[in-house]
Amino acid sequence: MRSEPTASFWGTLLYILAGPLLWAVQFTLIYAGHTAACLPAVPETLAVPLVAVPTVAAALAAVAFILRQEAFARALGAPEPPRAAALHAIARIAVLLALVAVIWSGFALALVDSCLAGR
Amino acid sequence: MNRAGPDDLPNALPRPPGEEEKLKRVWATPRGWRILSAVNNTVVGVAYLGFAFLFFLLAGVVALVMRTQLAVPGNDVVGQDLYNQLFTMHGTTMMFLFAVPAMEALGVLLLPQMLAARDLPFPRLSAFAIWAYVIGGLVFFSTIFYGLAPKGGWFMYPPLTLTEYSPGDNADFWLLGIGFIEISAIAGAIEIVVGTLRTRPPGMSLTKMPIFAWAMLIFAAMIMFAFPAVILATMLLEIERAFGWPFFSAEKGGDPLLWQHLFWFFGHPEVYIIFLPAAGLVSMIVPAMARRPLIGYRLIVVALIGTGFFSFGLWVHHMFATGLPALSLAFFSAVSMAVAIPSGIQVFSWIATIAASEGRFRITTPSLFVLGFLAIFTLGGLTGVMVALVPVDLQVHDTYFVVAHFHYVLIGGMVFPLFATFYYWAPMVSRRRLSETLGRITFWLMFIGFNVAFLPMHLTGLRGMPRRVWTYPGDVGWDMLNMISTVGAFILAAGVLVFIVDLLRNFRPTAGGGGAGDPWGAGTLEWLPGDVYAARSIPLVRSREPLWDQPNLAREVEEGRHFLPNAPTGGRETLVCSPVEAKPEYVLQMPGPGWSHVLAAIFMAGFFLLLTVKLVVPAVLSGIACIIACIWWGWSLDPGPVKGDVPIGAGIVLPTYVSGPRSHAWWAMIVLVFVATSLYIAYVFSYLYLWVVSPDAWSPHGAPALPPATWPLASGALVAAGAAAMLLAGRRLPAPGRPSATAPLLLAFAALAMTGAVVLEVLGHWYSGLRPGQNAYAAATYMASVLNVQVGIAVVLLAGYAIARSLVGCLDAVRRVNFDNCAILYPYGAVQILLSLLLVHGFPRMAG
Repeated sequence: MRSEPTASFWGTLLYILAGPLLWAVQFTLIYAGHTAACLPAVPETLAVPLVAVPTVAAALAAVAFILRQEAFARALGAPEPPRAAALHAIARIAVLLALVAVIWSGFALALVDSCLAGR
Repeated sequence: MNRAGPDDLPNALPRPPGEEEKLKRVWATPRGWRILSAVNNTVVGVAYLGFAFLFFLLAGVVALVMRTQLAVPGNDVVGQDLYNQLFTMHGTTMMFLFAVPAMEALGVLLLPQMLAARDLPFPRLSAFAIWAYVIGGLVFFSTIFYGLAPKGGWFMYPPLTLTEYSPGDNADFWLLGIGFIEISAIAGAIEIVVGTLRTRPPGMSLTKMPIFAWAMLIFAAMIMFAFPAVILATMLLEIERAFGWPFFSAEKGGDPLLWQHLFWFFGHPEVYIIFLPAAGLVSMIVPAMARRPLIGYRLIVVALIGTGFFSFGLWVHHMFATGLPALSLAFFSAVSMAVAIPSGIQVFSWIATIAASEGRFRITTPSLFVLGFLAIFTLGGLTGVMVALVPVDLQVHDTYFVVAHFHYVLIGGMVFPLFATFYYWAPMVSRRRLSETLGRITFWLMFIGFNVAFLPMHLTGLRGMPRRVWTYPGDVGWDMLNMISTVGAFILAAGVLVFIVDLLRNFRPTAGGGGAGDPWGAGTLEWLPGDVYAARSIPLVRSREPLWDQPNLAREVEEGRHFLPNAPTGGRETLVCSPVEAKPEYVLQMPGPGWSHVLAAIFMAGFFLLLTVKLVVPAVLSGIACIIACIWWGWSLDPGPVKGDVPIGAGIVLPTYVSGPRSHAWWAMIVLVFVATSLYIAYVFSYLYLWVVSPDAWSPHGAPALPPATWPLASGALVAAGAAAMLLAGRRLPAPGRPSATAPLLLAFAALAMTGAVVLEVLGHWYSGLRPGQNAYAAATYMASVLNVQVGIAVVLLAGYAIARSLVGCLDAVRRVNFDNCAILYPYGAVQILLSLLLVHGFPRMAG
């Protein structure tokens, strides 16, 4: 085996999980934000920005990751392309999948009123 | 490390005489009754799987009794109370005692073989997990025979399960029994995470891992994050039942829905915890039968990761009917549909691989079960998308439609792949293959029986039959459908019976001594020739299907020409590699057979079960005995650097002892810290959730004023001082052979400081007049201290253990793993206590 620099495990983990983690953060923020916005002491109008901002931010971050994937790999200490091509493909597809989920859940804001009782 | 070419193998021939005999001697399994002390993964794995299958049969018999009761309207085969116990035990046993343990068992059994490791890194932990599970599971299941079985459903919703509505010990058996079995599952998860990441063969980078290893890695990670939520939930409910702390009692500011959030945060990922390993198994069987690599390896890895993550965003789809805000429901509905994408990716990958087979796709018993799985699971997935839609869910909620849906997902998605596994991998651990003829009969009976049983249930549900009813009137159009379902259930059972006949006739376990060989011509490493020591030498891997791409590999490995063909330390060892690119790092010395872990499991079971029946003193004694057994167990696990460095082949010389982030023990502790973090996050969620529901219960309006700030400040200062002492102790560890009292004294101070911090926190609230039974706020406040006491006890035990090791000269600046274990947990504990102080003292001041 070659004496290339040893890849950082935690960096590599973060790299291949970047997409799902982005989704997890966005999902947590929109669920918690919407719940908070529906509390009696909080103005209901806050619900829209509390859902829209994390959604847009997460979507932009996902796009940035896809456009600057090599830089992310380097910064995190993951094996850089062209080493470990499969790893980079996995990271890229995972971000794409997460992007779909981010948009899908955030898009609900356009279809359903906030703070409306569910039944 | 130098790259070894095809003709440049790590070790040369001829091998020294007696090398293989020594390996056999070192790895020999105990004979006779001493087999109970065995730790070899092939022995423990087969036993684990056997007990999981036993629980499958027991829960299956329970299901047949229920189906007999429901065959005709107004039936009285069993009464209402027993029926409640039956459906509770059926669901609980299938989910907790069969499905998860069966998958962990497969991890223990198959992973070391697929990774060509000699064993998983903590063999006694695997054995401990199985004994804890077997004892706890058997005692728990036996409650059905003397009317003590729980009867609140497998999800045990309060308020039904609170003492007022469920008096007696029945619910306690569920809460303590399942809590105990969850500990066993977490122990198994630690083993699987560390084993998958660290004991892969040289060259097997992450992206060359078999899909099953990926699936097990994600499975174990999901257990780390999902199970703590239900552990916390069971703690809260048991504490409310035993001591009256009102977490779930609405009249005191609690909320039964908190249970649902915590339970389903575990419960929905649980479905995927069961499904992902099964999907991993299918991803191994399909290429072997198609005689070609899996199409879409990368996509399947993404699908496994994506499913693992998304499954944590689905829990509220079990709560669509509880009145949460519609937009929140929409978020969860979206993710519930989105999770179909990764599942679909896997299904299409399997279909593509089958369609692109080299020649015709071989139709064998494993293939039949895989094809049956594809058909049934896909149907279950489709109804899953239906119930992900809020309006549809509201229509079919709590009806037999849901029963049909999840049986399609669980039996299709887990039981059929498991039977495929039995037939596919039996030759690896049995001297004889299972019968193809009986296998095909088993498949067809199970496939037909399953569909006859569960397809009509969709209609029964759409016609309005609710779940969990013990009988029904005869004039509402459910009679015929129920009779058909019952007939189907018995056909399904007949299939399982034929399988048992096959097992009795043909399954001859070899206790690790090599099986019937590779009948499938598969490409992965579990089919390397082996013996009790697994593969003779640990191969250098260059592709995902090494046996296909390196045609001489099996011979080379058997000749001992790859890595570690011997036992250089004279004991059990395996190779530990770097987690990403699998570069060899050290030779791990492993423990052999022993009794300490067996005793620890027995006494831990005793602690939980005696506590359940309120025998407090015997329970405490059993707990102390468990701790003593654990200390005995741990004492032999730190051999120190006495064996020096050893050659493994290709000119590589590796240490036999490491500490710090390279050590497998460090990794296990980190996994444990993740588990503890997850438990604590679940607690923070619970605290904030209860505040959202009942802000009026919070101090200062609904409870006494908070203690003066000096209390939390003193507590925080103590824990910070303890952390500093711990840091200093790490720097003051003596050089080998030069005993010093400084580090032990600093360790003792650190442990005492943490104990003091926790005690101060409790006393502060007590002197302020707050009592935990007062309302939900008080209960949530004291619960923070309960969790801190847990961590504190663990730190005190680890520090005490490190001090003891230091006093006998087994701990120094080099031999420091026992210190590192404590040094990893301590800062975590300190941060948890500081966050608790901020939450408990800062939040009410801010919100009030």
